[in-house]
Amino acid sequence: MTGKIISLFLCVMMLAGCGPALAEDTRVTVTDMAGREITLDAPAERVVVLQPGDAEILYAIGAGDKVVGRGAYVDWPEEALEVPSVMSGYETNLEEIIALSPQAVIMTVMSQTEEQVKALEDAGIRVIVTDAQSLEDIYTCIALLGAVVGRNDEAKELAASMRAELAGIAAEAKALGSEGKTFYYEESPLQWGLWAGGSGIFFDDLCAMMGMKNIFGDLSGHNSVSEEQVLALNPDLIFTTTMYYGEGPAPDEEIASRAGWENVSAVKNGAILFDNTSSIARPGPRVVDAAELILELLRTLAAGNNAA
Amino acid sequence: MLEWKGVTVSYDKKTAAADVSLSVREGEWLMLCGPNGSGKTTLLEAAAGVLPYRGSILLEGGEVREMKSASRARKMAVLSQGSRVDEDFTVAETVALGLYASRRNRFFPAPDGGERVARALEMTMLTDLRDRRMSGLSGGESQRVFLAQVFCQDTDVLLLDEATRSLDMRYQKEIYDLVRAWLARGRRCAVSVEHDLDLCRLYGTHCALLREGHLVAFGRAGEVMTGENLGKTFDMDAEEWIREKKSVWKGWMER
Amino acid sequence: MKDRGVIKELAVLIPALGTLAALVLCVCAGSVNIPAEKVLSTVWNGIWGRPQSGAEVSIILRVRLPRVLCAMLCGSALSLSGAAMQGLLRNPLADGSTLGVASGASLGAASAILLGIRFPGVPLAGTMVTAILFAFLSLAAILALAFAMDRSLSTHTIILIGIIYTMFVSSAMSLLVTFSGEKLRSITFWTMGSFSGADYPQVLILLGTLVVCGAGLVMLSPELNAFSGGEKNAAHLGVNVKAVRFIVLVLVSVMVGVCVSVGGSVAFVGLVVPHILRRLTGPDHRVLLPACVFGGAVFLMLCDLCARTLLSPVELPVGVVTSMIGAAVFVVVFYRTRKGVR
Repeated sequence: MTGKIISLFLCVMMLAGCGPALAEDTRVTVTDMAGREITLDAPAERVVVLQPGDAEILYAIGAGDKVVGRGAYVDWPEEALEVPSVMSGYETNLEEIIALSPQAVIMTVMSQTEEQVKALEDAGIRVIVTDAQSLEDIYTCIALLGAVVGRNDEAKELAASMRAELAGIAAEAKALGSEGKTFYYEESPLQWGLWAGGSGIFFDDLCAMMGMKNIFGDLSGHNSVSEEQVLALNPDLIFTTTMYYGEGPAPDEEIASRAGWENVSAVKNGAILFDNTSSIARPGPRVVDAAELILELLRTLAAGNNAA
Repeated sequence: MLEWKGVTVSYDKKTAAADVSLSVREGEWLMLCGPNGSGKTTLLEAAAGVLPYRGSILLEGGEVREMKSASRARKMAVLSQGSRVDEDFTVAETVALGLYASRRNRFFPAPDGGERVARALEMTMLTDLRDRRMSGLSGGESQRVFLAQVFCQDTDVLLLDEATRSLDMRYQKEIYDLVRAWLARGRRCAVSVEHDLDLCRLYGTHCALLREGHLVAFGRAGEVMTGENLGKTFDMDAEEWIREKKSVWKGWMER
Repeated sequence: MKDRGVIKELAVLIPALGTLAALVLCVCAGSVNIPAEKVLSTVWNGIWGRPQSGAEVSIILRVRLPRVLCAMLCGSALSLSGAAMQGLLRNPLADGSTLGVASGASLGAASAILLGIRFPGVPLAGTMVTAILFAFLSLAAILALAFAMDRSLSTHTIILIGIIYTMFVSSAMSLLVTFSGEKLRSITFWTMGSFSGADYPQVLILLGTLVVCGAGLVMLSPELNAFSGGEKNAAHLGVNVKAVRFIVLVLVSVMVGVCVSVGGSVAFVGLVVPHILRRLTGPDHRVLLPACVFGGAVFLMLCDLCARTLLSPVELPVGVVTSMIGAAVFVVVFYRTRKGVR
């Protein structure tokens, strides 16, 4: 990870340093998050981006006009919806992508296979693989994408403002007494077996900034966990990103209604947050919104406490 | 006791038996003979209730197709060739399967079940083998167990479908002697499908010759099984063939 | 003779006590460590409806107990249906999971969820009814296909048809996934099986199904015994073959369908449990089927215990455990049978 950051940093430095001297040399060399070194003849003007988080970064650094194709799940910001969508994930369709004649395709580790990458590169398209899990990964990703589309300064600005905003939110959260609180981050509902987010993902980092502790902090990444453990570890807060299709009770109501969960602190205090803005799940600029949501919940809880 | 009246059976658009009428009375043993595909097994299976038929088959006065499986099985038992059963069953357990139709209801087995199993085992000389597993038996022993099973069913009518096929001479005799003994023990009758004409002549009281689904001749075995009738049935010079077979043994028999 | 009778009556107690012991063990052990006496006193107070509170009470009464009970009942139902099918088809490899009936039922359950088939007011009914329906249709389709190919239903035919059908179902599943977008995780649940999230209504439904269908199958033991000599032989012995076959298939479909809609497709239970028990009880269904009720319960409760505790706090789908144990035991048993060792 550190290696990736350093190499990126180096190439960004190199570009900055050499800029005025070699005005004609527009070549960009980046190391993507799969550790591959990629050289573009010039910052990409036509980009296809498959993963929502990456797309959101591109729009946030003012490179939205360069997006000529988006993954089917990209839905933010609204202007992105005007761009032609292509299949992503398991159904990635190479012909669809090539037909858009992009210079670069940005896809995640999850949605790419080596064969696909090779096929795209044979078609003269550069493939940049992203893999943002933690908060630091998101910053790395922002710098990487900034370099790819030639928006280094904007990328730096975005990262700096995110850091500043998050620090502000964390400070306010701590003022509201967030420190020492425990939380449980649910990714799949009880009906299909509980899945929880552990350490090493950006949501955990956000909470850590506020001094909160993940009850499954010992596990890294995403895990299927035991319901008994959740009850025994008794989290103060519950966050859920479970899919919701508008049928039956909403996930937060469903959690509150689970048999045996009535004694969990979070349920007792109504400290359950269901995010349907998708900001919690997407590694992009909107992690700030996610942090805001958490802060909002803390405010509500604090207000409730004061009133009581 | 068992009567076929103008029975026609057809399946796969082919007529396997056409307007056949036969009957078996107490103490009789009817042999159904004929070339392959002549309809003899078809007639037997129709009587056993596993093939649909037109016409009428009466079992002790009742129409077979209208009988419930269990009440049919209380009157008539069937022994097929090469019967098999889960090999982990013991001899006695296999024989006891013959009690199925006579159980009093779902929760109580036949009241005289134990006795009947013991009697059937004794009749077939299997008492010593009663706790052996079926997997450990020879082909002949195994067929004897199934004979005991049909004896245990305690019926008055017995159908045998090539019951001794693929058994050697000794077991053929054994099985047929056992059936003959069984027949003698009550008001009973038997019907066999049999390829071996010598066995037919030796054990059968009556004989029906069939060819392409039609009855060629039916009557007392001694009267029906003539060179002429057999020739018609099998489409060959049967008389010549039987003479030739006999002549091989002649020298030795006259010694 | 009299002594043997007494011993026989006592022998009936052994599986019952064994099941009870397994039940107690599985309720006492879990992902969260709670002292056994605390567990037992909580359950005892729970039974008499005495008010209790605390996280441990919730864990024991609301999470662990219904889950263990679900596993127990599903184990019984799956083993019974496996044994019945093996008897009916005279094939030791016949089972919901090998034939693809369970996958068919999961397909039904998954499509009910994805298509939003629900009966208002009755939780689970939509998935359950479609699961049962699909289970029955699968079974009918598989057997029709098998009969068309090979009337004797040899082991090879059964396995082949099972593979073909399972492949068909999994491609149908993939199709569903494509159309459903992100409801992916629920599909994983149906294919792997898990008892997480079990509750008392599910326990009651399972219990009802087991009592009705299980009793039905046990009552059909004499018929299943008669089937062991083949369908024709059964007919000769006086069995109404068509009726019995239909009833057994319906009962098996209902049990498999209900189990799948509660716990997903938990593979191999119906194959392994009857196979092992047959070594102990012999092939007589009048003994084998009741033995399966207990044996299956113990087997699945213990498998679920492994799923819950082995990697705690991470949980495995119980289907992974049963498949692994099941495949291993099955290979051993199969090898020994082939070798003629008993």
